[in-house]
Amino acid sequence: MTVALQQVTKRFGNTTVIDALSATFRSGAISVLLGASGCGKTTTLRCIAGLETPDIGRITIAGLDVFRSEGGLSLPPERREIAMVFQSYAIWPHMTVRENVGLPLRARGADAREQAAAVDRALALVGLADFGSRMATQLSGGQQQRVALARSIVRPTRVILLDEPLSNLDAKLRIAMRKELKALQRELGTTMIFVTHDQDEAMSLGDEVFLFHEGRILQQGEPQEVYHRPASRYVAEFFGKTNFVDAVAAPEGDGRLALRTNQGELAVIDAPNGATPGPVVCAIRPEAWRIVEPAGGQGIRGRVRERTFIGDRQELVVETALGPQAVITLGYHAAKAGDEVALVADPQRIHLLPGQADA
Amino acid sequence: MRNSSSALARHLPHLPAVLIVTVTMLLPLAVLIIYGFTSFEDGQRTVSLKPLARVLTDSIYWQALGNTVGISLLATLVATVLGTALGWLFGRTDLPKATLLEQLATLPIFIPPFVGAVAWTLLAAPRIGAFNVGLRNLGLPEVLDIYTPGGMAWVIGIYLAPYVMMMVAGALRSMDPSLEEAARVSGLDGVRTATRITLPLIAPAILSGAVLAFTIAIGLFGTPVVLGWAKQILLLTSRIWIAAQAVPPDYAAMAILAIYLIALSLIANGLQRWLLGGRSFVTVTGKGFRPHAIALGRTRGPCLALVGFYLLLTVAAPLAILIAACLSTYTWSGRFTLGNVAEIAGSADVWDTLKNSIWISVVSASITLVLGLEIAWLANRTKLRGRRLLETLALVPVSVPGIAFGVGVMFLWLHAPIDVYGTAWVIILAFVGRFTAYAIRPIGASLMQVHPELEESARVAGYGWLRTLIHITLPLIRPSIVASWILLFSIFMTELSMVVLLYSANTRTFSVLSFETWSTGIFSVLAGLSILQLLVGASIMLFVRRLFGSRALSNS
Repeated sequence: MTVALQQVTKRFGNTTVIDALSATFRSGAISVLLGASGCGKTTTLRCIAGLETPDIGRITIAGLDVFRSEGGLSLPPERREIAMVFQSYAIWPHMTVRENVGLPLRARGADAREQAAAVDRALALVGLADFGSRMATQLSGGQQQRVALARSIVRPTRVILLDEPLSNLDAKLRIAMRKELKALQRELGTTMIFVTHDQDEAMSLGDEVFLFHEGRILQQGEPQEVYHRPASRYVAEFFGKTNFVDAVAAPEGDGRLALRTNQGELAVIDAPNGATPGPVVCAIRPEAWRIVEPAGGQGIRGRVRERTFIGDRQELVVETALGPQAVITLGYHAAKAGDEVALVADPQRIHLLPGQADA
Repeated sequence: MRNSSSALARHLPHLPAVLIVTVTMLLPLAVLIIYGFTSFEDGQRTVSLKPLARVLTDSIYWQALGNTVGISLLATLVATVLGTALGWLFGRTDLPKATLLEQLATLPIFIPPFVGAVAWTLLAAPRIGAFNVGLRNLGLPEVLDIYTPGGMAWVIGIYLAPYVMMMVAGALRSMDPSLEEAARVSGLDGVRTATRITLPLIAPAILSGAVLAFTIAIGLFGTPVVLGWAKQILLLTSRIWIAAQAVPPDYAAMAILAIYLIALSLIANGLQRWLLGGRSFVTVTGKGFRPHAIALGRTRGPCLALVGFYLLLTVAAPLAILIAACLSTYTWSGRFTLGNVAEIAGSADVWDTLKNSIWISVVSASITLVLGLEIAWLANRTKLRGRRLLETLALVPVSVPGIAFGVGVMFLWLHAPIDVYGTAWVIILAFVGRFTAYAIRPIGASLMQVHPELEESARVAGYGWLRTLIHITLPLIRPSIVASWILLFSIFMTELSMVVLLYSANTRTFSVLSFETWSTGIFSVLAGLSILQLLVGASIMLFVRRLFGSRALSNS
């Protein structure tokens, strides 16, 4: 169910961790809160859970107030009808797996048979059907992760909050769990709010991504949208490598803009909404560059400075008069350090950063 | 052939350690058992149950056993309740000035039990106790009587509370707070989270603290004698001392009573092991936990008052009453004088015994430290056969109550062909034997934290093992070495329960002098001596810390 924050501010001492934040997290979707450490994403999650109390603002879950500074309303966590998966899993070491998973039901006085059935169902969903009687401490990290997940889905809740739940797993398991988690969410249709600092995780898991920076949301949207149309230089850089090229936009008629650099014309593009002629910064992803023969007189000339061969692709750094450009080409493309090349940008994939000519 | 000779060469340097462990730790306990289960008739020692039978059939010893168990259990209860409350306040809540208050609350450990008992005599003895005088002046009945089992358990308990407190606070700090948060999110309210999650998780720590408090309580000598003598509430330790004073000394009874104490300690530790089943729930994952303190809100005031009251009862009031008594003509008559101070300052006896205490403590602490370092190093850094056994054996005496261990040391050297008994060395050997564990544990723990690769890279860089030890290992573990030495020194300066059996006319220590002064009943002088003891102990600790402990290692 929908979770909404209105003008929420949280300070620790003199530091403002969340700064007048407003956001709506869609019902039945995975919303990913992404950002570097200290950006306020985890504090936001903990405020939704009721583990932190904001200084001002309003938080609603499924349309009901759980926190409102006006009137001093703040429901304790146990009355918010939520579930949460913690970074450290928070598996109670003095209980068995079954007891861990069943606690949310016991806390609300569910009857024993109902409880047992719900626990079995939850354990089966996370693939731990045979582990119920084990002590929680006898499990591996990945299994503890699953127990935490089972505990969060053992009873229907309004929302499941996940605080970097995959960050303590090794790389392979992390990617596998990502897929499982998404499949589980699709199956149950639960609302999930997921905190991570890993942009790959955010993009592969999120229906909607919220990029946090210094207690504010810089941009929100579908992963592709945020990746291809970053709202600012910070967002562009946070989502993977990006080249920034200064250019001057000049109208070409037909609603098209010519992007000219001091090394010649970069491309002619369809003018995006609100674009005006004048100096602009073009954000160009490394895979948007194409390498061509310099003899053709086309593109920006440069020389390959570094080449890192990855297998299916290779990463090049090409020194140009516009600065070094990161370029990704397919693995079989013949290129080596010292080669003279020219770079051509795919006009569809040049993104103009608004109003940031000198940023 | 080369193999066996090099193996011998590797083992040889550690022979002294093995010898010292045997002589100072194992032999005293063995001799104790021998004395307990043999009797000496017609110039021959034969296996016999006579000593045991005699103690078992004498009602005074049953009474002593009952007193020891009863008073120690009550004291453990006081220490556990107070210690758990304090530990929770310091470890888990937003109590203001918690760091400072927590440091203050560990001070009672450094007040010798004997001194604490003397101070509490002055505070709450019938008629003369300051609290009773206060009640009288208010027109209230003088209800306080420290010379009762309850009074004794109270004084013992409040001074043992910091041990429980440190364990509980430590367990709470290393507990992942999200374990509690997960319970809240899962639907448990604050109270149910505390009782169903937090309490079970720190129960092992509380239990360990309680067992430690109990084993210390049963071995105490100064407190029970000072507080119990007036009404002849005698404990096992008091009975051991009385048997030692008899002419001729009743060695058989001493041995059996010492074995009683060891048995009590074994039972307590065995019970703990059985209850825990080897489990410890405290999960130290090394992740940076957000210290998320529980807001005390309106209870903040009462909680602060509780801590303040505890400090008042254990530190402030005892110190104040000792100073007042020391500066008064008779106990604390209200007529002030510097006469007692002058008497103490002018007494050769005071300075001689103080000198004895200091040199015995410095020598013992240093030997204990080196031995502990060697055993910890052998156990953690070598692959020598028997290294773990050596460590385990060296840890045994610490669970033997001091006075019982003292009895063993006494028996061992009493009839030994070399002249140790009657010299200061018998005291030093007793100290080393009983307290080496106090050096092994912290040093071993910090050695485990120094990654062996730090030493290996020094070896690869060209240092020999000795230079590696001196330039790499020792500097890295220095904080624990300094802390261990200071702890040992402060224990030795005030130790009474072993010394009281082992001293001679030439080797009286300062704590013996205080004890003698107590038995003559001159409380003003006694108060002065107690203050002097605290001052000397504190200033040497500060001196050593300044000398060796100042350059703290930032990343160790």
